[in-house]
Amino acid sequence: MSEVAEVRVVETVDSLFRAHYGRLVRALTLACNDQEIAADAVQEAFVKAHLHWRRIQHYDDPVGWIRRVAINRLRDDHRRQSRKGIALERLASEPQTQSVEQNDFDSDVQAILDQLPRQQRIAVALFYVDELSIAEVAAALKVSEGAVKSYLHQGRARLRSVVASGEEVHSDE
Amino acid sequence: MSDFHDPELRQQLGRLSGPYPGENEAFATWQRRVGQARRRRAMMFTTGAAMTAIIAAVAVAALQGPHGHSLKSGDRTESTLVTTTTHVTTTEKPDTTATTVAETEASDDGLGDDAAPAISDPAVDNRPPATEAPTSASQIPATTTHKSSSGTSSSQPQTTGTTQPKSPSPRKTETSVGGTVTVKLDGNRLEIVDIEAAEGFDAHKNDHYRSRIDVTFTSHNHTSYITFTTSDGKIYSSTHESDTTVPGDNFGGGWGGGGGGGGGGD
Repeated sequence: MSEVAEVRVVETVDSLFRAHYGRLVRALTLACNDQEIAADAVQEAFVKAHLHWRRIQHYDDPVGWIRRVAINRLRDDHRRQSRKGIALERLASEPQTQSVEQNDFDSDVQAILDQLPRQQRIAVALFYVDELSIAEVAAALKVSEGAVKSYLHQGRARLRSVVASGEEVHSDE
Repeated sequence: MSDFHDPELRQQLGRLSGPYPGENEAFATWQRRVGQARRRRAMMFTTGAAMTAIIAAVAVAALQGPHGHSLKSGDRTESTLVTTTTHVTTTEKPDTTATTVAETEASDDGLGDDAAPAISDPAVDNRPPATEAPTSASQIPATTTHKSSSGTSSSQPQTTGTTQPKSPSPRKTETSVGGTVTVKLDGNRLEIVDIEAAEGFDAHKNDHYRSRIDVTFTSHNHTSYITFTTSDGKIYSSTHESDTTVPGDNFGGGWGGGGGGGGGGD
C-alpha cells in the first residue's frame, strides 16, 4: 500500500515538476540574473515538496508553496551573496570597477531590472515570465494584490522607457 | 485583460530570462537530490535514535547511581539477616542465654543497657583492667575451637541469595575466645555488623559511642573483651581475654585497654 502511495506521490510531484520547473527557473533567473542559482533554488523547493508531499498535497495551491520556497531560498542566497560581497569588498584593496560594458539593449534592460527593488523585480519576473496572475504573484510574495499592482506599475514604467528606446534604435537601424 | 499586459515587455523579459532549462537533465538532477535528501534524513533519524538511546542509557545509569548508593540499605538488610542468624545460633544455647543475646542483637537503640549496665558508663570504660593483664586470643588455642561450632558468620547472607552490596566502608573482624565481632565504619561512626558468640558464651555490647564499640563474651569461667575504636577513617581493635571464677564480676574492670592497646588497623 505504501509502495503504491509512494508511486502516486512521485508521479504527482513529477507532473508538477515537468509542468512548472522551466517557467519558474526562467522567472527567477530574471529576478536574480543567474540561471544556475535560480535552478538550484527551484530544485531545492521541489526536493522539499517531495519530502513533505503528504502534507503539501492537501494545500490549495501546492505549486504556490513550491514557488514561495524557491523565492525564499533565492532571498537567502541573495543575503549570503550580499554578505560575501561586503566581505570581499572589505578585503579588496581597490573597489571593483564595472568591467562589463553595458551598452547593448539587453544589458540596459538587465541594468534597469537590477536597479529595481527585489520585491518589485520578483513581481515583474513572475508576472511577465512565469505568466502568473496578480493574485498568484501576491500569494507568492505574501503581499496584497494592490502592492503587486504597485510593483508592476513602477517596474513596467522604468522598463518600458528602455524597451521603447530600444525599439526606436532597432527601428532606426 | 490586465492593465499591465505588455507583449513587448513580456517578450523582452522572456529573452533576458534565457532559454528553458533542459527538462530531462533537470529532472534527473532533481531525482538525485531527492535521493540524497532522503538518505540525509534517514541518517539524521538514525543519529537521533542513537542519541536518544545513549541519553536514555545515561539516564538509567544516573538513576542507578542512587540505587548503588542505597546499598547502605542493603547493609541494613544484611544486618537484619545477621541478627536473625545470630538469634538462630543462640537458640542452641540455654534459654536464658538466647533471650539475652536476642535482646542484645535486636537493639541498636540502647536495649543492651539492660544486659550490660556497667559498660554504658563512660567512667568505667576508661578504667584500666583491674583483674589481670590482657591475654591474646591466640594464646588460648583450646578455647578458640569453640567458635567454629557456631557455623554462622556474616557471609551467610551472601549464600542465601542476597545481593552483596558494594560497601566502600571499611570493616574489621576481631576474633576472641568468646566469639567473633565484625564492625564497619559508616562515615565516622562504628557500627556492629555481626556478633557471633562461641558455645557457652553470652554476648554483651556497648555501641553507644560513635567511635567506640565494646563487646564482651562471658562464660562461667572466661571473659573476652573486644574493643573497636576508630580514628582517621581506620578501625582499630583490641582483644583481651580474662579467666575468672566469678561470673558476676566480668564487667568490673575489663574495659579500658582498647584505647592504648589499639593498633591493629587496616
